[in-house]
Amino acid sequence: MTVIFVGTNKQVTIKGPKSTQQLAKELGISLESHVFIKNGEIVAPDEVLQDEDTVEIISAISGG
Amino acid sequence: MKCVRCKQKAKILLKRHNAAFCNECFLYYYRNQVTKNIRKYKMFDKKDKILAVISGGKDSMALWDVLVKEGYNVVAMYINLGIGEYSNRSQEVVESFASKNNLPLIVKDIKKEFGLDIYKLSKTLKRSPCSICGSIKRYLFNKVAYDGGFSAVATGHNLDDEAATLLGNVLSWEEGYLARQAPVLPQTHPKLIKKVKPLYTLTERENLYYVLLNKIEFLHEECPHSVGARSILYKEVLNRLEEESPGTKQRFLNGFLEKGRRHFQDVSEKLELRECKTCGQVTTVEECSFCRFVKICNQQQET
Repeated sequence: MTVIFVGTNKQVTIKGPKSTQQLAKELGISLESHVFIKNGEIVAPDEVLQDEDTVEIISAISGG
Repeated sequence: MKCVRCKQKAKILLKRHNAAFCNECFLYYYRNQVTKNIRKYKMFDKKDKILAVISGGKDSMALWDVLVKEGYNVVAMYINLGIGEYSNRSQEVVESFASKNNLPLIVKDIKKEFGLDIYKLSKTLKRSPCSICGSIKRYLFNKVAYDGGFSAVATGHNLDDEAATLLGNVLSWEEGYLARQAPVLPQTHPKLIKKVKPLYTLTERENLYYVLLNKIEFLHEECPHSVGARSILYKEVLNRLEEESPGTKQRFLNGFLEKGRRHFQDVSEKLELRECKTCGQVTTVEECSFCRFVKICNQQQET
């Protein structure tokens, strides 16, 4: 699957199938501070993502 | 995963509430939280005129939208701080939302209206741009609120912000700040307008869900000066704790508000408030920092 980090130029390819939770762990991303989107819809932590999916990850942390 | 409210498929998991929500029920929960916060701390009511300070980021855009939807009398205020493209883009986002939804908006441009340049001030006064920016923002939203007869100034500070601020204040034992940190900063002078944080029990992630579900355009990027900010480190640390022990941030903040804060009231220094000799706004010295900034920038323009 293609994983796009929204707001950065970063994009990676990860092998599926994986749940959102597993994907987050593999990428070292906190589910507490990030939102996962697929086809414009919020992805639940237990949803399984496939090789052909494109997932966008948006960081919720704002600073300063 | 099933929605706790309607039992349909849930998308949003909030471990600290031991709850999962579908999109619609999440919005119901969110609006409920905001209403509860406003009532619990008597922030304002439907008769009050509220000034909502909006940066264009997800938290303040969520605040603006939810207050409007809940039927409050809100006027938004945006301050262009002259931070290059970041300011241009954030102003566009805010103005677009106001225009699309036919909402009142006050825009203040610190360079055009007051001749202020935070970078020149930072260099001249040897203070960080963030410190200058903070002083200017606080002055302006109070002045606009006071001049406009607003009952309260509302900001989009959320649970992550408050918990991170609290952590920073505790780590440095900032007794003065610990005495004052609260969802409501009361009116301690006739010219100081009450400041309120209606989103203080909602996390940044919940604010992000709110704007995404309501298809509200917001600025994704952060202020370029926030890179490496200590508050971001504190947020990351707290989120790590939250993952291991859901509810940590909420317990930390609520526990402080209920049990901790009162112990700092006696030890904190009482500030003597006076009125600036130039503009009449509240300050602790003869001339407020905003007026000093304006003088410095005017002098620099003349030379």
